[in-house]
Amino acid sequence: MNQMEVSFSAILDNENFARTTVAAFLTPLNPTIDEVIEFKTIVSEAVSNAIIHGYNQNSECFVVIKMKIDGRAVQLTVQDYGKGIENLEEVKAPFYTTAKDLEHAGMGLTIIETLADRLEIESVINIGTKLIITKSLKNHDTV
Amino acid sequence: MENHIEIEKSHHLIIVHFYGEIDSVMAPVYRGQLSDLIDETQEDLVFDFQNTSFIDSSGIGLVLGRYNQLKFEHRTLILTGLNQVAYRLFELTGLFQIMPYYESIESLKEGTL
Repeated sequence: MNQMEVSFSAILDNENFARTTVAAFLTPLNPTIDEVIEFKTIVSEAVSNAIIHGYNQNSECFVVIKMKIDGRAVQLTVQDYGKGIENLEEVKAPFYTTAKDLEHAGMGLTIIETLADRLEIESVINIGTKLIITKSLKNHDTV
Repeated sequence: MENHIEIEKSHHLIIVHFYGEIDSVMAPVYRGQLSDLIDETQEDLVFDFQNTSFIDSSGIGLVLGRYNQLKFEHRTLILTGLNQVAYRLFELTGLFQIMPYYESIESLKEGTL
C-alpha cells in the first residue's frame, strides 16, 4: 500500500500541477500512455469542478487530492469544502451545465464515469463535495 | 511543449494546429483567438490535434462553441489527429455525428484533393 495527499489553492492554473502530480505518483506502476492520459483527464475534470463549482475560483480555498495504491488498484479522492451539490442525479446527467456562457460542455462527470471503473460522489450543501474514483491499471503480463 | 496554436491556409481550408495541452486555462484563450479568426475569414476550418498531448471537457466545449459559430455562417468544422483517449471522449459527446473526422491531416488532404 502506498498513499499520498496534496492540497492546493482553488485556482485553475493548479490543474496542471494536479494532473502532473497524480501521473508522477503512478509512475512506479509503469502505466501505459493511455492509462496516464485517462488519469490526467479524470483529475482535470474533478479538479476543475471543485475549483469552479465548489469554490467559485476562490483562491483562499483548498482542493485536496488523496491517492491510495494497492497492487494495481488505484483509489483517487478529490475533495473540496465548498458549496456542495444540491441534486446529485441532475449533475450526473450528460450535458448538464450551469456555465453554458463559459462553454462548459457539461460532460465532466460523464467523462470520469467513462474512464474510471467506479465513481462515488458524496456531497453536503455548504460542507463540500468528495469524489471517490477507483480504477485498476492493467497487468502488463496479460497485455 | 508550450501551449499554442498555429494557423495554416491550405486548399481553401484554414487549418488550426493545437500544440501542448487544452484545459480550462487554455480553452478561454483559444476561444478568443479562434472567434476572431472565424469573424475575419470565410473558409471552412480544420482543427488538428496531432500535436496535442491532452484535452479535457473544456476542449470539447471549445470545439462545440466554434462549431456553432461556424454553422451559423454555413461553414464546416473538420477534426483530425486526436489521441485514443480524446477520441473516445469526443465520440461519447456525439461530436462525430455532427462534424467530419480524419485520422490525420495527410488523410484529410488526400481525401479532399
